[in-house]
Amino acid sequence: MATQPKVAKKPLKVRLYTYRWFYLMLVPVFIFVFFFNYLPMLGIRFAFYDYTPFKGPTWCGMDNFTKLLSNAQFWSAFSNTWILSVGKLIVNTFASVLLSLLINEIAGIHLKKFVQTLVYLPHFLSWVVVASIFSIILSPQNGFVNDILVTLGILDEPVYFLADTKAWRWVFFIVNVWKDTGWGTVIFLATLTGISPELYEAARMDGATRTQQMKYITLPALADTIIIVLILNLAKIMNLFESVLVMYNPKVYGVADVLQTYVYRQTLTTQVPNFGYSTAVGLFRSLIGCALVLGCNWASKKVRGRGII
Amino acid sequence: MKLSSKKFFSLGLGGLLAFSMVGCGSSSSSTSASPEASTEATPAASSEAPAESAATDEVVKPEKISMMVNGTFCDVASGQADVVNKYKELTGIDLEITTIDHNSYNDQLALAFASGDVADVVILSAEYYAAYATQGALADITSYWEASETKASGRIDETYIDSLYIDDTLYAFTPARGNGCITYLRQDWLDKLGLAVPTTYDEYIKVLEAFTTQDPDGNGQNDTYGVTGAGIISTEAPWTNYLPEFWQDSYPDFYEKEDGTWVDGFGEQATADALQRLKDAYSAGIIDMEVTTNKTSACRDKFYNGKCGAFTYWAGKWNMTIDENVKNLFPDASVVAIPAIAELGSYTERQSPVIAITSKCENPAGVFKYLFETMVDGGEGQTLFSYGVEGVQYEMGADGLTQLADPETKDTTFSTVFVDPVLMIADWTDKDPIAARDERISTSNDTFLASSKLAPVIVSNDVMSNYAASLKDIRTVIVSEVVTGDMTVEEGMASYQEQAGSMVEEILASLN
Amino acid sequence: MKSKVATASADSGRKSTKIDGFTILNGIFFLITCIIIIIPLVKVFVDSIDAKAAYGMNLIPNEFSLSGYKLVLSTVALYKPFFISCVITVAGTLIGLILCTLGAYVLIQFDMPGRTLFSYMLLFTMIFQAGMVPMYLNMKSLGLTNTLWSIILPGSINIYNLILMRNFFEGIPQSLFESAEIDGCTPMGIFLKIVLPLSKAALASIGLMFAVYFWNEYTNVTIYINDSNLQNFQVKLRSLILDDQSLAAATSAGIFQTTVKNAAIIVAIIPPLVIYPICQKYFVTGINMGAVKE
Repeated sequence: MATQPKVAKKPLKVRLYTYRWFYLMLVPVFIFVFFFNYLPMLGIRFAFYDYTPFKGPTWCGMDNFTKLLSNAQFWSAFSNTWILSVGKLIVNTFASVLLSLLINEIAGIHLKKFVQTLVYLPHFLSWVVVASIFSIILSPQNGFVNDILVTLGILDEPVYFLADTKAWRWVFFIVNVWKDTGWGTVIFLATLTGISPELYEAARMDGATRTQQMKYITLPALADTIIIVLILNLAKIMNLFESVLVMYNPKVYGVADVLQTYVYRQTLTTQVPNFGYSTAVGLFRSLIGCALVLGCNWASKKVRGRGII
Repeated sequence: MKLSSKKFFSLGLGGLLAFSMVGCGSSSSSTSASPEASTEATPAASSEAPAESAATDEVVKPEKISMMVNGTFCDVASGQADVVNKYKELTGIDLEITTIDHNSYNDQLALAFASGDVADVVILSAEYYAAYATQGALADITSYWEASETKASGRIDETYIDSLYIDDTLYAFTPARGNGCITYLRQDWLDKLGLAVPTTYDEYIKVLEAFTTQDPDGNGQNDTYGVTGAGIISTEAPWTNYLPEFWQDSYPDFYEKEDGTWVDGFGEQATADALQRLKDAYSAGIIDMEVTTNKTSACRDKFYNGKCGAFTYWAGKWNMTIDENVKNLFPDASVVAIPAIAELGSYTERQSPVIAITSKCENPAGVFKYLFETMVDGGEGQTLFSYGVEGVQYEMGADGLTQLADPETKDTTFSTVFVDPVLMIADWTDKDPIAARDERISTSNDTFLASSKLAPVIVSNDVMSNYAASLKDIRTVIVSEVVTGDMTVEEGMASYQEQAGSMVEEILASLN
Repeated sequence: MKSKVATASADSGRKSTKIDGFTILNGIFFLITCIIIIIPLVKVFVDSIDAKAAYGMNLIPNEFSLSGYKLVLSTVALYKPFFISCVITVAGTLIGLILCTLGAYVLIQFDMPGRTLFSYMLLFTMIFQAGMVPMYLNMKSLGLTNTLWSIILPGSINIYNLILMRNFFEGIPQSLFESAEIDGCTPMGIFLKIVLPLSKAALASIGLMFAVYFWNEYTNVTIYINDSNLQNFQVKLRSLILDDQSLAAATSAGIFQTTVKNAAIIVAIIPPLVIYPICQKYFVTGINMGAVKE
């Protein structure tokens, strides 16, 4: 971590002048952010309106929110979103870090490249394709997994994984790990290459074992990146959608239905979309994401002395 | 330095954008203004129109017509430009077509209406038609239709147009019917097991049982089952097209009885009986175990791969596709489309997608006469919108017209510009110009038409829109719990009443 | 003190090349992992070269045939969209990296007044996103609908990547900046001569993330672009081959629909398959800045 110069702060005007080039450098970024993020954000006000394509926006206050929160299905969807999203984030990040560490230890450069490319490939299959492949693999009628498990005696008879409320979430996590772990290693591997080999040499000369090297050198170096990735992904936690949409079905709504799929079904059947309603849901999701990010940022500051801001 | 020139470029771009934004404020305020203006315009237009056509026969020919289409209309790479040119030759009108990706069509439609920038003509599915019409987005074309030459000529099967009336007003047109699903069976399996085509429910069940237990593909393994489907109850009207033999006369949604009262079909005895039949069949293993997780493509694959012997799918062209695909793996196989069994009575034909004139169009009478009527004029116009342009999408031979390869994907035959010739509802003045049609298409089409009835009309109002999603969820879950789970039919029905009872009452009150 | 100076061939120095228990276990672990990962991919691949792709889990093709690939690759209609996707990806990645690095560089200036404010302003946009309708209306008023810019520009301002980049930049020792300033280097000079060269791994990985994002872009293309000459590869591929709708019209002469679909899927993942090994060399080498030793 770069040390901050411990110099008395110069007066504001002087600092503004010193940093004038940096402000200039920031201009392009802010222009883009203004036009493509802030301007559309004005549209968030529609959350408090009824806005169909045929009638212009009409104020309706908190109606959209009460409509969202009053439905019984909402709460189940909401809790599922938490469980699935947070679970997926933790499992995926953990797996990605573990995989990065192990890939980093591979000796042969060609083997390393091969493994890296291989594990990141599943990310490029679209969810639709992945779901159709896995529904064949997990099929209760001569499906690959069931065949193996029955032959090995682990199961007495095939399990209909995708329609089983007890098994569905596990399947969800496993498929997510399969698909996205390799992709997640990209960032962690990039961080790992930045670690000075002299540290390892010095540690080895001091007699540190592999585990100790990992514990005292590698992991701390990764810690910052892990925290940032976790916190940034927390902002998107309520957005879980496509992976659930392609794998769920009415039999497992109780454990699989998430906020976005619930809203999707709601807006799918009304042929007159109420943009106000969908914006209200988006706003709701954003508020939760915001609270999570700020909360974890604060916690991180307390524990590690810094957050992402 | 290279990088700084890039930086200046982005600054410059930003500045340009800033200047263009000056105009932004005015246009975004107009977006809220125009939709409201359109709802006010419609009542005015509809009151003017009857007067106009009653007074004079003078319909102004529009100079251009803008149209918004989805994947059902021939796209640019398949020769759309030639179609537009030929249309101009025939009528002198410029047709401006905006082709939108099929998956985002409805979103774009809503966006277009919201931004006030809508074409004159749009394509709508049946559910969207009902909703958009009641919202005042579409022009009233009742008078144009009633006074039209096409109607007078009697060439059109008017039942299909009549079904589009909402409160005695017509808001859209359709040149083709909606088609429906028919049950296909593996003829070679029937022959092998010595069974005849079933005509009653008991016979059908026996056939399915035989498919499941008697190893019809002769491979010594017990790996086949009777019928598959992409769900037990469909996700949209007409709801029962996946396993119609089991649903029989049940219609699990709101419909109007002959005496004019509206009822909820899901709560009726017919549905309870249907659920019982489905439950028994599922537990006997004659329905695909994975019926609740199947996607349509998975079902087709299963049928093509000989996992099951029965499959209910769209009539007409699909017969040929299914037959060919099955023959790919099993060269001796053949597929037959069967007439509806006695208890079912007739297959359901879904309400067709429509083309509609939007309320923003300035000359709806002109559009109706010069576009819609051209599509069903029985001659050149009809040929143009179904078969396309000579030399591009078809060629003329001695016996008639043969379709050429699709200009975009050279390995497949061109299907249709917009109006599927198999489904069109307007008769040809002479005869269908096509030289020969694959027998499988015509047979299944005829079989379907011989035993089909129109689906109940789809309606939409505010109360229904409010509850539609929740009701659908409740019904789907109950159906899957009862049929594939442990719930009994009685428990299911009771649960339905409990969860949906008040919603249903409110909806019925608003309809009746 | 833990300085994270990137050094040359970060690999070979610190690894002991003896085969110990760990290496063996690691090897076995990866063998199993690779097999598990590869099985579904193999299924897609096998089906793509299988003339009689059966429904089920066969890992060996029933009948070898390349007709699926021939069909996909001979569809001329796919070449222009492929090119368009390349344009979008290259342009988007370049613009994205420029914005990202500039923004990140500014955000690491601890002493700069307003830095925290700017950070929050940028983070805010990541959390609060407008819905489809305001985005569309905004794009329309900017006059960008139906142009490739509607895909490239919004995608290149990616705060997630910017913050990750900042994280990487923070690893560069302050001493390097100070000594450069003393030598009279301008901020832009420091950026170009010190920060960028030291961040090859970061540029490669974040550049890869941008590239993948732009390559896979689908939804925005279907919403903002109606001109079929501007459709990108993913959209065209899906509408021509992967969509049920278009398969209905196809009377694939003797070629299984499953074969064609799977061939199309494989073709679509070839570009990422090829790009990553190219990026990988940036992950294992850096520049020796051994000159800075305190």
